Amino acid sequence: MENAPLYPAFGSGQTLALLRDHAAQGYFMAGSLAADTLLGVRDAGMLSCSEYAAHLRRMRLLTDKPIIADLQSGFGNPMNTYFATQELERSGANRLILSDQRYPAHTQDCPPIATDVDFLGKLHAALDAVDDENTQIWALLEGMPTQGLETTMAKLAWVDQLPIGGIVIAHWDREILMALTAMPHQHRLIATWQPNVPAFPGIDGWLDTGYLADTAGNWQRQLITNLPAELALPKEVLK
Amino acid sequence: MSKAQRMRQAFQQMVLGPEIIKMFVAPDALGAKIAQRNGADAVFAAGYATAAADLALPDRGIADFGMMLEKCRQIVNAIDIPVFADADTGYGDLENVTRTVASYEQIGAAGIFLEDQTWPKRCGHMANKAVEPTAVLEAKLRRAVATRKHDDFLIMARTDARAVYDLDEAIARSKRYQAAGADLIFIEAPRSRAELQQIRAAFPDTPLMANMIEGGQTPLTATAELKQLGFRIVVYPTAMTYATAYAEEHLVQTMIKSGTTAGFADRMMTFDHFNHFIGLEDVNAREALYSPEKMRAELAKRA
Repeated sequence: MENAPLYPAFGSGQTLALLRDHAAQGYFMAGSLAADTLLGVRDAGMLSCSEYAAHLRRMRLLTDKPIIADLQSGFGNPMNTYFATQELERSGANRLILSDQRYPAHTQDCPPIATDVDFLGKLHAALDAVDDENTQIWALLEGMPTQGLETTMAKLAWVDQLPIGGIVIAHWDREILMALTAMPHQHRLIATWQPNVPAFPGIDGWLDTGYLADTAGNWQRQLITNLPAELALPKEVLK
Repeated sequence: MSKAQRMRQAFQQMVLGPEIIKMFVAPDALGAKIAQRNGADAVFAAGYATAAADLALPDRGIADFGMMLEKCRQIVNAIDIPVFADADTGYGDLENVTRTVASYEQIGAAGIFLEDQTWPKRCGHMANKAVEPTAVLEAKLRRAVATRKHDDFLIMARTDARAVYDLDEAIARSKRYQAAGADLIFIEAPRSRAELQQIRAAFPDTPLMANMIEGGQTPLTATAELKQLGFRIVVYPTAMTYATAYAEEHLVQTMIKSGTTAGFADRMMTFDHFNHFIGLEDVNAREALYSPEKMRAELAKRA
């Protein structure tokens, strides 16, 4: 894993302020974590583009390192994707991850997947909308649980032909990664990251989706549970 | 080169060029588009119009940083000419000024002005203004210059000391503001052509802005004359707000009296004209680029 960078995820200014002291090559502002910060709901699909973009602009002021933004499923159809890409790029995104989920892109384990026709239109729209030549569009493939390996391989093959900056693979296991990395491809392959994931040949980067937030949340839960008696909250409040 | 870079460079070139910059304050993104399409060189996002459009309240320091920034951002995104921003007092102390400058630079403004009124401030042509000691804005300007990431993000110093003291004090303050790093100078509310000349004489080599408020303290002076006097920027901060409010007032009165808007139609854009103006064809054409038929054909080729 020495050569495959990890992109830590954040949703709050507090987390990003802590992360920026570490040597990451960039930070991922996950839509699910941003929704958690802003709405108290861990679901990217509940946030509109303008709400996410306003939060992104404030986070942008905290670091000069690349920020990977969550373009979700383009916030609608390809036309919406075009305007959403413009909005997120001018709000400070250096990389934008476009998911192949259907709109709205709720955070879930088995997301419904858009048609290839829809996803291709959105990828073109995002690529056309970019203003700065250094801004990259990354394609996020989330169809493994519902579409299976064969369909995902076919999709990776045509997505790889587009002038994008990388392909992110989600909901994977070892066999899936072996199959996908063995395919001929020109773009960087990035996989969603889990703690203690081993180095994997052919994976060029790891995308965190909320490890820090999960860990911090667990600690906060423990702290609340162990509050001194005079401060302790009734158990029903903690549920 | 990003749009923000292009707009900063364009504005700086205009400031350094031979022509006077004709700048309108737009109450909103639509007004900004109208200004651009009809020949304005730049648009100003400013407090009087924002307070009126977004709050229906007077310019008395009630519109805050968040509102002003968002208004400016909407205007920046809607047009392709430079947008200069009214950053009022910087919205607090030096730490607030840092955030204010960074935020306006981030959203793509071509520059900002900072002023020496006490907060809550008020429109420069209203009565009972108060100003801070000169050192306050000097420090804010130094912080602003240190904060900006690009030298072509221009910073203007505005003083309201003419109304509180006199023109000599306003000029003396502006000299200190220039020494603190201001690229442009704006002395608010001079009261005569002679005072406009006096300001120019005090700053022969500095880009100056003149503020033309209908019914304000400064005599309305034609653009050509302001250019001859040596001003580099003329701004109309209230004209679009007054014109819009006047038209809307008469429209509603017409409808209430006659029961229809038909009698007002000759003073409106038509449905087709407005849709064309607002860019409906462009958006439809953009959507058509990614039609299912086209994408299906492309996928077949890529398979």
